Amino acid sequence: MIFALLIWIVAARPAFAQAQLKMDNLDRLASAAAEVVNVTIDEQLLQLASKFLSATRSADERDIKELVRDLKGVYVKRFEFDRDNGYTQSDIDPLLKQLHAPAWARIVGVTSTRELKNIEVFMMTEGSLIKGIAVVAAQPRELTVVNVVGPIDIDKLSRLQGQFGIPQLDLGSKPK
Amino acid sequence: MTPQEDPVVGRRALKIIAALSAVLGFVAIVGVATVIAGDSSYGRVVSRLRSEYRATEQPMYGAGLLGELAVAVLRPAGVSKAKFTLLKDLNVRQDRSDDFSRIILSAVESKWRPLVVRSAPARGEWTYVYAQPDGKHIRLLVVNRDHADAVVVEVRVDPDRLSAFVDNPQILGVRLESTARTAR
Repeated sequence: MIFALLIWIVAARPAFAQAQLKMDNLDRLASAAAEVVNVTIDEQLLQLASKFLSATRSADERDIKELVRDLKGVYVKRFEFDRDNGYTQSDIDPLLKQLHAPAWARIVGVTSTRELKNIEVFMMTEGSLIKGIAVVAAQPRELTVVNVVGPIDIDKLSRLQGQFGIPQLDLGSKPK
Repeated sequence: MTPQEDPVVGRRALKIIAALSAVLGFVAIVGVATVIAGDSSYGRVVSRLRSEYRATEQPMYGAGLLGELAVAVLRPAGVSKAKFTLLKDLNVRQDRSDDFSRIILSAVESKWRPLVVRSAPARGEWTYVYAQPDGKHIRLLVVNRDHADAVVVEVRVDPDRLSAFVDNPQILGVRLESTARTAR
């Protein structure tokens, strides 16, 4: 039993690691950006940070605490520019190339021609297990990439907006 | 005969004063030693900002050390260690946009993990939040710069106790919630 558990742990770790995107190439945008926000929360820090949340204080906190319990990491990069087109398609192509791999599936795509906003949500699954989620929100003066690694309840994903450095991405209103 | 004239009472008072002095001395030595022997990243950040920007330290007149000692003894809100330095008048005239980041990145040891990094050089704003697990505690190193002022803070927090403090805010048995409500 213990042997099987060890094998599962060893096998599970790299599986979730696949869901972690390589976002280093985006760092070159920092020099042109007016504001850069970088959030890196790995599993250990996430578990420590989740202790700040109380299961009894409010229903929202309880849900978020449950949500982050099994997560392996939360990574956010956000660039804000003073002028339009502060970044080019070639800047985000390496990222999109990773997300267009067969392991990832695009589950939501929102394009607003009025606000020139383009939001795409990708999900990596293995069977019924969600291994990771990526959100790419692109606007002429703003680029946000969110990568949540680990098993996650897709219905509760929107609750992570505004938590752990994840900005409000209009992925659906928070349930009351 | 007054207590001052009683030699037994006088000797007892002297003993109490001597014992109190010894305890205070010990606490002060331990406090100073903790600050000196503490994580070098905090000291290196402060030192580099002082030297590279010729920044002056905001005088605390001992309040900083007393605050650190009070935190070490009282552990309010699960914070068992806290130290901070306020730096002002950073000489930013020759500053390039990436200088501040370069200084912080080179001064902070790799065992500190960058948790949140926010930079807006055009607005003269930088915030670095580093973290490292320390047993059941979490240690946070925060460096914030707003134009020519900077603050460097290091705290060690027990997340469980902080969470309990949020639910039931009290220090040394004194509830803070009712005070806060009265103040509102």
